[in-house]
Amino acid sequence: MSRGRRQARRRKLRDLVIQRVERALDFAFSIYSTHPEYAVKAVKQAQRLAQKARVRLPTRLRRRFCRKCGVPFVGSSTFSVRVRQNRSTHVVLRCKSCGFTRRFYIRQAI
Amino acid sequence: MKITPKNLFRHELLGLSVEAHYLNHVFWGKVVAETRNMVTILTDDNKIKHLPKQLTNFIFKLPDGREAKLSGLQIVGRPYERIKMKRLKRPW
Repeated sequence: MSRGRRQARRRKLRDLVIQRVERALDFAFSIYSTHPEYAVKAVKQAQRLAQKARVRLPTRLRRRFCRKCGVPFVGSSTFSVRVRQNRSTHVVLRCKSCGFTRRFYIRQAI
Repeated sequence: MKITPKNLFRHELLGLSVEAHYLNHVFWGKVVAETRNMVTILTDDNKIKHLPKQLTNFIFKLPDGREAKLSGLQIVGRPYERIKMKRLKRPW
Protein backbone atom coordinates (compact mmCIF):
# COMPACT_ATOMS: atom_id res chain seq x y z
CA MET A 1 0.00 0.00 0.00
CA SER A 2 1.31 3.42 -0.90
CA ARG A 3 2.02 5.98 1.78
CA GLY A 4 -0.83 8.22 0.69
CA ARG A 5 -3.40 5.46 0.90
CA ARG A 6 -2.08 4.35 4.28
CA GLN A 7 -2.39 7.89 5.60
CA ALA A 8 -5.89 8.24 4.17
CA ARG A 9 -6.95 5.02 5.91
CA ARG A 10 -5.39 6.24 9.16
CA ARG A 11 -7.26 9.57 8.92
CA LYS A 12 -10.54 7.72 8.39
CA LEU A 13 -9.90 5.51 11.43
CA ARG A 14 -9.02 8.52 13.58
CA ASP A 15 -12.23 10.26 12.55
CA LEU A 16 -14.30 7.18 13.42
CA VAL A 17 -12.60 6.72 16.80
CA ILE A 18 -13.07 10.36 17.82
CA GLN A 19 -16.75 10.23 16.91
CA ARG A 20 -17.21 7.03 18.87
CA VAL A 21 -15.47 8.48 21.92
CA GLU A 22 -17.65 11.58 21.68
CA ARG A 23 -20.80 9.50 21.57
CA ALA A 24 -19.67 7.30 24.47
CA LEU A 25 -18.83 10.36 26.59
CA ASP A 26 -22.16 12.04 25.79
CA PHE A 27 -23.88 8.87 26.91
CA ALA A 28 -21.80 8.76 30.11
CA PHE A 29 -22.75 12.37 30.91
CA SER A 30 -26.45 11.71 30.35
CA ILE A 31 -26.63 8.58 32.52
CA TYR A 32 -24.27 9.60 35.37
CA SER A 33 -27.04 10.96 37.62
CA THR A 34 -29.09 7.74 37.57
CA HIS A 35 -26.57 4.93 36.89
CA PRO A 36 -23.03 6.13 37.71
CA GLU A 37 -21.54 2.63 37.35
CA TYR A 38 -22.54 2.45 33.67
CA ALA A 39 -21.20 5.98 33.11
CA VAL A 40 -17.76 4.98 34.44
CA LYS A 41 -17.84 1.84 32.29
CA ALA A 42 -18.61 3.90 29.20
CA VAL A 43 -15.72 6.29 29.89
CA LYS A 44 -13.30 3.40 30.39
CA GLN A 45 -14.53 1.79 27.19
CA ALA A 46 -13.92 5.04 25.30
CA GLN A 47 -10.40 5.34 26.76
CA ARG A 48 -9.61 1.76 25.78
CA LEU A 49 -10.94 2.34 22.26
CA ALA A 50 -8.57 5.24 21.70
CA GLN A 51 -5.67 3.25 23.16
CA LYS A 52 -6.29 0.24 20.94
CA ALA A 53 -6.61 2.36 17.81
CA ARG A 54 -3.50 4.39 18.81
CA VAL A 55 -5.37 7.65 18.52
CA ARG A 56 -4.54 10.60 20.77
CA LEU A 57 -7.76 12.30 21.74
CA PRO A 58 -8.14 16.05 21.26
CA THR A 59 -7.82 18.18 24.43
CA ARG A 60 -11.53 18.97 24.62
CA LEU A 61 -12.24 15.22 25.06
CA ARG A 62 -9.28 14.41 27.32
CA ARG A 63 -10.33 16.98 29.93
CA ARG A 64 -13.90 15.74 30.21
CA PHE A 65 -13.24 12.83 32.58
CA CYS A 66 -10.84 11.64 35.29
CA ARG A 67 -8.06 9.71 33.59
CA LYS A 68 -7.45 7.66 36.72
CA CYS A 69 -10.89 6.45 37.87
CA GLY A 70 -12.99 7.25 34.79
CA VAL A 71 -15.64 9.45 36.42
CA PRO A 72 -17.07 11.94 33.91
CA PHE A 73 -16.73 15.55 35.07
CA VAL A 74 -20.40 16.50 35.37
CA GLY A 75 -21.14 19.69 37.29
CA SER A 76 -19.16 20.90 40.27
CA SER A 77 -19.95 17.89 42.48
CA THR A 78 -17.46 15.66 40.65
CA PHE A 79 -14.45 17.95 40.23
CA SER A 80 -12.91 21.21 41.41
CA VAL A 81 -10.82 23.77 39.56
CA ARG A 82 -8.50 26.21 41.34
CA VAL A 83 -5.92 28.70 40.23
CA ARG A 84 -2.88 28.75 42.54
CA GLN A 85 -0.03 31.21 42.75
CA ASN A 86 2.25 29.57 45.32
CA ARG A 87 4.81 28.13 42.90
CA SER A 88 4.61 29.36 39.37
CA THR A 89 1.00 30.06 38.45
CA HIS A 90 -0.98 26.90 37.72
CA VAL A 91 -4.52 25.54 37.42
CA VAL A 92 -5.39 22.56 39.60
CA LEU A 93 -8.03 20.10 38.41
CA ARG A 94 -9.06 17.65 41.11
CA CYS A 95 -11.38 14.65 40.83
CA LYS A 96 -13.66 14.55 43.89
CA SER A 97 -14.33 10.81 43.75
CA CYS A 98 -10.73 9.51 43.78
CA GLY A 99 -8.72 12.63 44.64
CA PHE A 100 -6.50 12.48 41.58
CA THR A 101 -4.95 15.87 40.86
CA ARG A 102 -3.71 17.30 37.61
CA ARG A 103 -1.78 20.54 37.36
CA PHE A 104 -1.60 22.73 34.29
CA TYR A 105 1.26 25.20 34.51
CA ILE A 106 0.79 28.52 32.80
CA ARG A 107 3.70 29.88 30.81
CA GLN A 108 4.48 33.50 31.56
CA ALA A 109 4.40 35.88 28.63
CA ILE A 110 7.85 37.30 28.03
CA MET B 1 -17.47 9.34 9.83
CA LYS B 2 -21.06 9.97 10.86
CA ILE B 3 -23.18 7.17 12.23
CA THR B 4 -25.29 5.63 9.45
CA PRO B 5 -27.07 2.28 9.01
CA LYS B 6 -24.17 1.20 6.80
CA ASN B 7 -21.36 1.75 9.30
CA LEU B 8 -23.37 1.07 12.46
CA PHE B 9 -21.68 -2.28 13.09
CA ARG B 10 -18.37 -0.41 13.38
CA HIS B 11 -19.77 2.49 15.37
CA GLU B 12 -20.69 3.16 19.00
CA LEU B 13 -23.81 1.45 20.29
CA LEU B 14 -23.91 3.07 23.75
CA GLY B 15 -26.91 5.32 24.22
CA LEU B 16 -28.81 4.25 21.11
CA SER B 17 -32.45 3.37 21.62
CA VAL B 18 -33.11 -0.14 20.48
CA GLU B 19 -35.78 -2.75 19.88
CA ALA B 20 -34.28 -6.17 20.58
CA HIS B 21 -35.87 -9.41 19.39
CA TYR B 22 -34.54 -12.25 21.49
CA LEU B 23 -36.17 -15.67 20.97
CA ASN B 24 -39.87 -14.87 21.37
CA HIS B 25 -39.35 -11.75 23.47
CA VAL B 26 -39.11 -8.12 22.43
CA PHE B 27 -37.38 -5.52 24.58
CA TRP B 28 -37.48 -1.76 24.06
CA GLY B 29 -34.87 0.41 25.70
CA LYS B 30 -31.41 1.91 25.54
CA VAL B 31 -28.01 0.25 25.21
CA VAL B 32 -26.00 0.93 28.39
CA ALA B 33 -23.10 -1.53 28.16
CA GLU B 34 -21.50 -3.96 25.81
CA THR B 35 -19.09 -6.88 26.06
CA ARG B 36 -17.83 -9.30 23.46
CA ASN B 37 -20.92 -11.49 23.44
CA MET B 38 -23.51 -9.52 25.40
CA VAL B 39 -25.46 -6.30 25.10
CA THR B 40 -26.92 -4.74 28.24
CA ILE B 41 -30.18 -2.90 27.76
CA LEU B 42 -31.93 -0.55 30.19
CA THR B 43 -35.54 -1.19 29.24
CA ASP B 44 -38.24 1.45 29.23
CA ASP B 45 -39.73 0.05 32.47
CA ASN B 46 -36.31 0.54 34.14
CA LYS B 47 -35.04 -3.04 34.17
CA ILE B 48 -31.57 -4.22 33.19
CA LYS B 49 -31.50 -6.98 30.57
CA HIS B 50 -28.40 -8.83 29.39
CA LEU B 51 -28.90 -10.28 25.91
CA PRO B 52 -26.50 -12.48 23.92
CA LYS B 53 -25.55 -10.82 20.64
CA GLN B 54 -25.53 -14.02 18.63
CA LEU B 55 -29.17 -14.88 19.30
CA THR B 56 -30.69 -11.41 19.09
CA ASN B 57 -31.84 -9.25 16.20
CA PHE B 58 -31.68 -5.52 16.78
CA ILE B 59 -33.49 -2.55 15.32
CA PHE B 60 -31.49 0.53 16.33
CA LYS B 61 -32.85 4.05 16.16
CA LEU B 62 -30.11 6.42 15.04
CA PRO B 63 -29.83 10.01 16.33
CA ASP B 64 -30.98 11.39 12.97
CA GLY B 65 -34.22 9.40 13.20
CA ARG B 66 -33.38 6.62 10.78
CA GLU B 67 -33.81 3.00 11.76
CA ALA B 68 -31.24 0.29 11.17
CA LYS B 69 -31.90 -3.44 11.32
CA LEU B 70 -28.91 -5.45 12.38
CA SER B 71 -28.41 -9.10 13.13
CA GLY B 72 -26.53 -9.63 16.36
CA LEU B 73 -23.98 -11.77 14.50
CA GLN B 74 -22.61 -8.65 12.85
CA ILE B 75 -21.70 -6.99 16.13
CA VAL B 76 -20.06 -9.91 17.92
CA GLY B 77 -16.74 -8.60 19.20
CA ARG B 78 -15.35 -6.25 21.81
CA PRO B 79 -16.13 -2.56 21.30
CA TYR B 80 -12.54 -1.81 20.29
CA GLU B 81 -12.30 -4.83 18.01
CA ARG B 82 -15.26 -3.71 15.95
CA ILE B 83 -13.57 -0.57 14.55
CA LYS B 84 -11.60 -2.60 12.02
CA MET B 85 -14.17 -5.29 11.34
CA LYS B 86 -15.51 -6.08 7.90
CA ARG B 87 -19.17 -6.42 7.06
CA LEU B 88 -20.41 -10.00 7.00
CA LYS B 89 -21.62 -11.03 3.55
CA ARG B 90 -24.12 -13.54 4.87
CA PRO B 91 -25.13 -12.32 8.31
CA TRP B 92 -27.34 -15.33 9.07
